[in-house]
Amino acid sequence: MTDIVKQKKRDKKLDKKIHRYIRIAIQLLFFFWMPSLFTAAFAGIKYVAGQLGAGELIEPTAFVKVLVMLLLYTMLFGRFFCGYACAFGSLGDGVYALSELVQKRVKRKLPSIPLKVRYKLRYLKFAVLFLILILCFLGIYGNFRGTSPWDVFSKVSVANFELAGYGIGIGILVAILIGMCVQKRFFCRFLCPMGAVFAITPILPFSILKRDRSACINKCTRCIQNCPADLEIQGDSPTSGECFMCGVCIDACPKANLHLTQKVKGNEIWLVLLKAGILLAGCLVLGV
Amino acid sequence: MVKKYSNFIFRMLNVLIIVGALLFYNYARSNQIEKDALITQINQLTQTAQAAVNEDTGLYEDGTYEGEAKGYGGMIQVEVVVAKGNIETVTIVSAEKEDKAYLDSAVAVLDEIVETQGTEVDTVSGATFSSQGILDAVDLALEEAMKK
Repeated sequence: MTDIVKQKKRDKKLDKKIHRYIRIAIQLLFFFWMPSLFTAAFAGIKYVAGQLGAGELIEPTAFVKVLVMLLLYTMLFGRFFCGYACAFGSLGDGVYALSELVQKRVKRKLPSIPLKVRYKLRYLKFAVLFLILILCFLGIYGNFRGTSPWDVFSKVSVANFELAGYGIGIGILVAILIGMCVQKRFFCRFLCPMGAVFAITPILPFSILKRDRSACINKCTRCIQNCPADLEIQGDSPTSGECFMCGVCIDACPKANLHLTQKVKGNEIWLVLLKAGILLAGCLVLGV
Repeated sequence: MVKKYSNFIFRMLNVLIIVGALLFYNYARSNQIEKDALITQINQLTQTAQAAVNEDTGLYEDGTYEGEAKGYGGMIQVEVVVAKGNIETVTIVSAEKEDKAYLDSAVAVLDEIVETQGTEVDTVSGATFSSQGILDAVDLALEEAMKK
């Protein structure tokens, strides 16, 4: 009897490991193959705001196409793009993993942001989005070119080190990197303007994680503790757009209580590969 | 049922309103722009008529010129064809290290270069590095094409 229990535990651990490695593999693939998806999509947002401000026609430019594709994708599958494919999100995961490793080695812990503050900081990204939209609408965004940490990141990522005039952008990027060391998904949760757009995108209910509360172990909060966004999984809710669909909670739950639908949990290998494949196909069709 | 998905329904309605508003905006603008285009067409006709009178007054020497400058990820090579003293076409010969979505947007500056007969044009927002690279490359080509 105990042997069966032990075997089950071992199987679960192995599953968790496989899920993690598949996620890392997909993240690496997108990081090196399509590192500019997030900036291209956001350039679409900036373009629309700029055209509206200038009274020009909104045309289906390459940026707008990437934007529409990612928005439709997110409506269908939730923020799988954020969790698995966005280069900046993956950068955050990498930096945090490295920071965790170092913290373990030197046996010292970095201070963490209190939970209450984390819940409040969530709204900061909407302010960032709003500010950028206004600047684009007024047509003065170009004056603040040296302040974009994404520009610095995308330049450095192709080994382009001509960064004169990017002092502020470099400063912000360094601050973000420090934040990434302290907090899982620091940028995505608190600052990402594209994340702000995704967070208010409607997601089809069968692509939102649910939890059968009545079946939970009393006072177990393992899913919340493992969630990079500190979410209490509860199906379609005002905060369900904050979920990155990373699927960590599904593996963390001791009672396998988290699921998308009655039959589908959400972290099945075939499903993850299918979602990644569809995203990749979408990008290739658009020729990104 | 409705309550269970109220969040989704509310957001979906918002999306529909925004998309609808944008489509309406585009429709209204394109009507206006069509009218404006007609007017500029008439203006242009008079201009070309004038240009025909003083032919070959362009700034540049006829021929094909090449230029190369740094874009976002690497070098961008362009070819400028000058005929009758005017820039006739500008094409990108190679831009291997540019990101495709960005380059596709940046090529909009090519038409503007031909239209304005120079490189004093705005870069494409969102694709600043690639379009600046194109402009720099064209600048170099035009330097060669300048009449001595």
